[in-house]
Amino acid sequence: MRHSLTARGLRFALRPVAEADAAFILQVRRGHPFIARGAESLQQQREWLASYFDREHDYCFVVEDVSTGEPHGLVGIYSIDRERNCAEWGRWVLRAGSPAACESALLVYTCAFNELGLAKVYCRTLAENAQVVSFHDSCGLERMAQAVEVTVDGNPRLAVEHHLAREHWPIVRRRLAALAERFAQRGKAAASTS
Amino acid sequence: MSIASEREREQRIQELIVRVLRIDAPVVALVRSEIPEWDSLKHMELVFALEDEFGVRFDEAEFAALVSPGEIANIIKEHLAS
Repeated sequence: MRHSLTARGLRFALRPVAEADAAFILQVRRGHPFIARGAESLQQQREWLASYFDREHDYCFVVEDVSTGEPHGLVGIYSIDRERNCAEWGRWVLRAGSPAACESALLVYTCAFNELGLAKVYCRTLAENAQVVSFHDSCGLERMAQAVEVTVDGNPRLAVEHHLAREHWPIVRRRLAALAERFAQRGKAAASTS
Repeated sequence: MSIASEREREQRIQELIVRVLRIDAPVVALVRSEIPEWDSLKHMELVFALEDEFGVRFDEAEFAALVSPGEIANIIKEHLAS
C-alpha cells in the first residue's frame, strides 16, 4: 500500500518503497536462496509494485543509509490483524555484507509498536535459513516450538516462527539499540577523521 | 611480533569466537557461512569484542570481511603492524 511511515535510526532508516525502487528490489532479491523467486524482470517488478500499492495493511520499506540515501535492503510489515492487533514482518533482504541487520530490525519493531500500535509481531523464517533463525533467537524473540508450513513458489516449506510481544520489546530494543549506537559511532568517528 | 605471540593472538581470537557465538568447540577451518550461530547480531558483538580486545578499529569493508578465524587474524595483524 502507499504509506508515509518512516523510521530514522542513527545510521540506517526505513522509508516507503516507491516505483523508482523497482530496479533495486529486483537486484537485491535476485538469486537469494531463502526467499520466493519473485519478479524476473524489471517489468514484472513494476507490476508487483503496482499490485502492492493497491493492497491494504501492507507496509514495504527500503532500508537506506541515513547519510547517503544508499539502499541496503528491503523489509515489510504485513498481514495486519486489527482484531488481534498483531502483524507479520518479513520480506527482509539485505545486500551481501550490509551491516544494517540489527538497526533495520530495531526500526521495524519501532514502527510496529510505536507507530502502528501493535501488541505483537511475528516473523517466519525458512528453517534452513539457519543464520536468520539464530538472529531472531539472539535478539531475544520467543521461538515457537512447532515449525509452520509456508508456501514458497508454490512449494510447501517448513519455517520457524518467532514472536515478540509489546511487553518484551523494551528488552529487545535495549539489545539492538546498544549495537546500533556503537556501530553508528564508528561512522561518526570515520567522518570526523576524513 | 613473535610466532609465539601470533599464536597467542590466534588462540585469543578463537576464545572470543567461542564465547560470543556461544558454541562448544573452536571453528578453526570454518567460515561464517558454515556456522549457523554466526548470525548478524553475534557478528556485530564479535567485531566489537575483537576491537576491545586488540585495541583496533575495523572499517566497514573489514567489518564484512571478518568471516573466519584466519581472516580475522590477518586483518588484526595488518592493523597492529600499521
